[in-house]
Amino acid sequence: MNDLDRHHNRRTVLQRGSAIAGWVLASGLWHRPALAHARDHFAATSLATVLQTLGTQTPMESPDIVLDAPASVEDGSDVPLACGTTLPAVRSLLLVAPANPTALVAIFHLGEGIAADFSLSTKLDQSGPVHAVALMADGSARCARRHIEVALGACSGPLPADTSAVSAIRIRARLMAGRALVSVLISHPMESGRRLDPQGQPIPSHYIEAVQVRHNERTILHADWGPWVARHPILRFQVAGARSGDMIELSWHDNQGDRRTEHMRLA
Amino acid sequence: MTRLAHSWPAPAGRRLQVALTLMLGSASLGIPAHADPNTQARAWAAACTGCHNGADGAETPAGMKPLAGANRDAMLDKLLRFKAGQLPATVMQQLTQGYEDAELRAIADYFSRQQP
Amino acid sequence: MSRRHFLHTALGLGGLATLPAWSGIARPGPARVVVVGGGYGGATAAKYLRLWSDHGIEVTLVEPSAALVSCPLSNLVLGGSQTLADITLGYDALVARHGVRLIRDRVSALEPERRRVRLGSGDTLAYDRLVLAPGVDLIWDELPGMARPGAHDAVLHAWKAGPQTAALRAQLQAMPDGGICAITVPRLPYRCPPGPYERACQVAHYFARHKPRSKVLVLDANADVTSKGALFKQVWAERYPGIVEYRPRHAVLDVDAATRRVQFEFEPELQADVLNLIPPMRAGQLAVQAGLATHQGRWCEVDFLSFESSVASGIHILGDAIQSAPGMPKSGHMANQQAKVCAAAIVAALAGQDINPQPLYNNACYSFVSDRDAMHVVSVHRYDAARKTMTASPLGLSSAPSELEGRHALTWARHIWSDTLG
Repeated sequence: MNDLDRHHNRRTVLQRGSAIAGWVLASGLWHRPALAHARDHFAATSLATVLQTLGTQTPMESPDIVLDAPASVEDGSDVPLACGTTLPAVRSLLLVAPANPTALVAIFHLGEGIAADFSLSTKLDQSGPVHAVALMADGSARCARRHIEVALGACSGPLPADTSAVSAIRIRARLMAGRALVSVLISHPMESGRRLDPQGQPIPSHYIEAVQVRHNERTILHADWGPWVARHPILRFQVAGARSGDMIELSWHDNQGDRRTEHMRLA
Repeated sequence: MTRLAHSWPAPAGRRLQVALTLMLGSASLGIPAHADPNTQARAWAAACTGCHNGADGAETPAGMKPLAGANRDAMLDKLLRFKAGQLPATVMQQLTQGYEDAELRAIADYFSRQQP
Repeated sequence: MSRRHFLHTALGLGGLATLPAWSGIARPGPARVVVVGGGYGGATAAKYLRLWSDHGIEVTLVEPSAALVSCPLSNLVLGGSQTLADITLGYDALVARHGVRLIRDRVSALEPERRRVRLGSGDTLAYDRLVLAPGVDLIWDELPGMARPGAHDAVLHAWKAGPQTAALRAQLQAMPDGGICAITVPRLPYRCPPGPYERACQVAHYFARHKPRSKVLVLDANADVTSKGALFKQVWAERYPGIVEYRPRHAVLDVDAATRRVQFEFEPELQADVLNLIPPMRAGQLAVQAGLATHQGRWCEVDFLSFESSVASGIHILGDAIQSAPGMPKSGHMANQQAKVCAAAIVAALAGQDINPQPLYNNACYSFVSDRDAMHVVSVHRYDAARKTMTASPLGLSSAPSELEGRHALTWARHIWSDTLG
């Protein structure tokens, strides 16, 4: 079983049963939070404020929400977090890291035909809790929490300053039992704007704000990202009802106005 | 209540143990076998003998010789000067900075009371 | 403290207060500790249990190998400046000098309810306390290509020093000039973070002298070099330009052992002449099978005051197999340090004394960048009672590799071997 399969199969319960039919407004429009400013929720510094900004109730901790995270990491700059649930009627899934300067890492707004099951490379600034929150169609919220210890590592040194350019999106997918298990490597510096260059000057923020995934002609995912998604992140998700020859397309745009799109045909 | 035998090694064996210690040099055994009441200092000092040892009489660089029987004040002075960056070193400046002065004192005191 | 799978009626510490020192619990005679695994961790534990109990505790060490072949320094065998014999050490002194009882066998199963282990021979060994130092298990089941016949002869890991070290050296010697040696590095955590990069230096050193048109490809699943990164990159650029190429974010998906082709998740496939595949790892199989590897099914969670398992009372686990504290690498030096803490705690517990509430120790790790020059990283680790873990000091690093540090490194090896086995 390779790395890709192992990741997906690690949560076989989710793979078989994770919520596929996302909640979509009858009008065909996506449910987007009614915010005073489009990204208010990304300015929040606590889980409570993130949810308050989204107009959501206090979440209930639930064993039905899966959050897969290591208990400790040598280096917080690239921590894969996986979240998901088998519960039906999930509108959105949030990853929240309140110990970061701002708490919200990413929100996945589910369309029809995508599983409530994601893995994303994230940046964790220091040890602390991370939360996965599922916003349900009925307005309720469920969550799971893990504590992650972050250290630079006794044998590890700090990462070099980021100098990478934006380049390709690489999409890989395997069909398994009617689902496409998709892994995407997105090349992007995901600069948070909080780091200083060697001269002590802040490095300007440059990060992906929105990701969209289409399956054939249908948009199945809108995701809002913030500065705490990792540099060159890997995103994994599952597409239902996928068949050989189908097209999977991913596009992003960032806070400096760059945008990219890539697609692939399922073999 | 069950009578439990106190199982110390037979005296003859113990004497043989001590004789071996003196013959081979306790440094080759790491921390010497005779017990020290201050087991915390013993434990802290045990973290040093991976490097500071006298392996089977082979030539040992000056900086890595065994520490048993060292003069306490001289050792402590050296450790504190490493910590203050006053003595050149490859690893000792960096290592001592991870220790409190009181801990270095306890370790120096422990080694000074061990038979070389 | 999480649930305890293994429930015992004996062994509350309070119950020991009235018993004489070193007593066994439910039977007359000295306390018995069984140590499983004779590596840096197990051998040190066995020795210090004897030493610090004044030989009052009966210690049995179970180890299948006739000798300890040191992983530290084994990369120098690949480079050609050491032989396997130079790094092969015996257990004689543990037996003769310290009275450790050595059984050359494997442990096939734990029987914690009966406080005993079952050996491969079928015999059982009873214990009052059990120390497991099973090292790491290499995870192959995520690489279907390694399940094909002959794969393990063609593609070597040499991540447990011994015959594979010699075999990998032979593969390098047989490789024609102009060939490619690929070394794959798994995602952290794995045994010995700087090890693969030291290996790249050693192979490059050999190539530079004997096969100068050859290449070393370091294919790292991690985002960057996991240890002494800036130093290694400088060494590769200055000493081995055009020989070593480092590629991060290359997680191996599968291999074809016959052709030595490697598949990655996102990067193009490539082929090597010598493929040194270092796969992901987890705690040694014995611990995993016994349900002790509670962190993500891979590593054993322990109490850092005594290394007692978080889920099994009376069973201590140390060395590479544990879920490390933040900043604590998996290394022979670390296992030697942990073993002393564990031994002290067991000795104290069996004597009804207090366990040291402030463990304090260090890591010193040398990497050889050539046959003679080495560099170090050190750190100090101390117990954090509030968070019940060990915290690591900032790292101390060499400013550059040197011949002086190379001599220190060789001395360190002789000294730690003496401390562990002598």
